Amino acid sequence: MYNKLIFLFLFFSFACNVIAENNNSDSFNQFEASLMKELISESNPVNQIRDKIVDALKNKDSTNINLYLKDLESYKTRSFMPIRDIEKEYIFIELKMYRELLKLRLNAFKTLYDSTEYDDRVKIASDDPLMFIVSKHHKEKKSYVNYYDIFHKDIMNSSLTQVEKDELAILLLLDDAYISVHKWSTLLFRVEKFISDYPNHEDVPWIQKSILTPLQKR
Amino acid sequence: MKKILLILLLFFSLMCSACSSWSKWLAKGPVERPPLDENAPVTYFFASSYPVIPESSVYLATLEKSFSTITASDYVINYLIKEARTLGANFIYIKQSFSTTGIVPGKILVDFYYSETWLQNKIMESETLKKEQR
Repeated sequence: MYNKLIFLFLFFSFACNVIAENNNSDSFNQFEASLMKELISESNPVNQIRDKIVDALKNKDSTNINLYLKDLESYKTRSFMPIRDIEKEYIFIELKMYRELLKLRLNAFKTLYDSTEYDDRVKIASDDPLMFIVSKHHKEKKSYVNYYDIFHKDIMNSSLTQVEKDELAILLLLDDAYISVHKWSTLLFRVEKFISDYPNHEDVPWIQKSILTPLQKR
Repeated sequence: MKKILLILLLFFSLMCSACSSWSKWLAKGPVERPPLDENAPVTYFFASSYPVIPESSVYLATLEKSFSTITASDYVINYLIKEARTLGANFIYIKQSFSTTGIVPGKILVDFYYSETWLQNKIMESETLKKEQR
């Protein structure tokens, strides 16, 4: 009889513990969710837009990317950089937005020596999922592999015009133009061909002065 | 005694070859500029990191320079800055030197330019900094 009572007591106390633990776990989950919600609402709008970009990247959805980037640009000041070019480049490559990639590269190279855009101590949006994804990508990407070598088939099959494809190839191959004689010669050939194929293209004067001149002098 | 002398001679010649370097002007541009003041700002960039030059750059010359692997990089840079000022260049563009078989170690190709834009940006930048400091 006593044994039965002890068994029942133990059973009930165990059952009560399980229920209490479940309740605790539920309340912990609720606490965690509310904390996350609070954190999200407290995080600045720049982080919220950057998080939307991460979602778009996960869903391979390029529909609103330009809108998000435009929104981010509105927060840009001399002392705050809401998104880095390296992050934009990753987004455009991942979502196969090659026309945007071309514009980005062109602007980046044309303003490479213009250090007046930001202050020396510019604050950069960081420590968030977007930065983590881009850093991870660059750690995994072998430095000697050029983006053009990886994506040239995609670029060739994209909706870019032939002149845009040729220009994008030059701007991507520039990354490692000066690391081997073969890459140097390949790029020099492409640049000279571009200039002779499209002599009236608006970027030809810049390509001639900024890219061709140092490539030719050897 | 002869052996010691021979070893010393060998050591001395090795030291000399390690420190020796030469430079060769490969090309000079059509524009000649007056030399720059010895305090004039001159900067250098590596083509591997900066594969384009400022659009406003005026090409002045290309130099091929060899240096020993034990030569301090500061020595090479100071040498190039001195050459740049003599040419009237404020922008040194350092490229690798290649042969048909690949990169030649201890040899660089250097372009010298005068770039107005770069200079103006730097001046603007320092002016802004001064205003902010005030």
